[in-house]
Amino acid sequence: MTLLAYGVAAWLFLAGLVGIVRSRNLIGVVICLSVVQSSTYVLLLAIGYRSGAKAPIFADIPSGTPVVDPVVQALTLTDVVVEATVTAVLLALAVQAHKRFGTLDPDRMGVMRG
Amino acid sequence: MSRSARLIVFAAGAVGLAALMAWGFAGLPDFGGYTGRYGRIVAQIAGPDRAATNTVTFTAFDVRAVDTLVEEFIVFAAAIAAVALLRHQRGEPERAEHPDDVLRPRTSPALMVVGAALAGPTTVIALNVIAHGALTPGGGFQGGVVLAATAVVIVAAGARVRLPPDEPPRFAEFIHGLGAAGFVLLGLAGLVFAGAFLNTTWAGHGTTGALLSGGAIPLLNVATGLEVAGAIIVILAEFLEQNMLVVEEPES
Amino acid sequence: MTAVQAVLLVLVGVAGTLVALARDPLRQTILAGIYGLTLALLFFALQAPDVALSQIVVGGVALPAMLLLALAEVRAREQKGDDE
Repeated sequence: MTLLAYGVAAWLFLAGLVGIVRSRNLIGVVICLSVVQSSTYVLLLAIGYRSGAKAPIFADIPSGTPVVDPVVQALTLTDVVVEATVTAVLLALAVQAHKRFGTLDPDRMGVMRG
Repeated sequence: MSRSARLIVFAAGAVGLAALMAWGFAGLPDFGGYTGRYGRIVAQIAGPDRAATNTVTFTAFDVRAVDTLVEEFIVFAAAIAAVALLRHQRGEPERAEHPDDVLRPRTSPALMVVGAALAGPTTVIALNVIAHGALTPGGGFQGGVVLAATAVVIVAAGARVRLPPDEPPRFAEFIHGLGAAGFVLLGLAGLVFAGAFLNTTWAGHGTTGALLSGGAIPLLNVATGLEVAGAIIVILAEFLEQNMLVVEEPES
Repeated sequence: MTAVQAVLLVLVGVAGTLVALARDPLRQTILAGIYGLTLALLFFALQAPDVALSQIVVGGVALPAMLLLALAEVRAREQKGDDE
């Protein structure tokens, strides 16, 4: 079962990379990049998980019950929102590239200058 | 490099990468058997030290607050970068002549009804999620995105907007900057009143489980929520295509 | 590992593969939305409600909005180019 959890994270990473290399559209590249980023979230949360433990919110459980690791969750939750805004910058670049070259196909684009 | 050559090189590299990942993951602890002490200590001190029941938010906004400050400024910089990249996108010639036009999106009546019904509850839910960051799952980042979603719902429902050609929408930019500056000012307040930057104990404890608890963590959550909401609204406004909006005749 | 977590892990892997294999960017956007939803369910099953909430709002609202607006802008420019 350890194999499944970490294996899915590695699989998503590689599948996203394959999508980036194979794609014919810059916006497809951006979407596959977000798949690669989400593989790191799966890996982080899979590492921090403890069997039989509960979510790290003590609002309704007595303090002292075993909980999963809160530090990896704090890292992941800010990362999810930051990923969205960085994806926006990449999309802005893709739109500008389309305006400049008339196409979104990475194989048919030239070099952006200036 | 041609496309097939690129794919072959990638395949060779991917095999090596997969081997490296397999070797690296073999050294990780078993799934469910994580024994890290840092997380356990943090989970134990959240209640007694700060009266905060959400240990994840406590970690993000107190123990590791400098990390969150940097991530928030990544969001800030990304919004500015998107505006800078797309600036001349919206300033197309016909728009530059009428910078004060009032614009309205083309929507259907069904969308108007649903949007009008959802705008109020979404705002309340967003503010609720932001305010209860120290108590229940939620906080500044999640609530900020929901607040930006409120703006999307309002515009999709047919609100009249005024988009000056070369600058981001004024109100969104205002709360964007207010949130970013607010986070740093609260950190400096920690420095002035409690001796360390982003120390949150200066605002008192409150009672565990009440809304006003956890020191300055709710205030930091509000600042973050405003900043994230402003950033996403600014980004979406930059992408808004001129063809989606029609000029509304001024009612003079 | 519970059965729910195992099933959701497999679903996430399948959805991610479908996103990477899709061709048309509009189809990829919709698949990315579904992928985000399965990710959020997986995060719930791994006892991480904060992260799941973040993923739901980002993967369901912010990311599809940005992608659809970018696609619309590209398509509008292509149509304007065809008209000229």
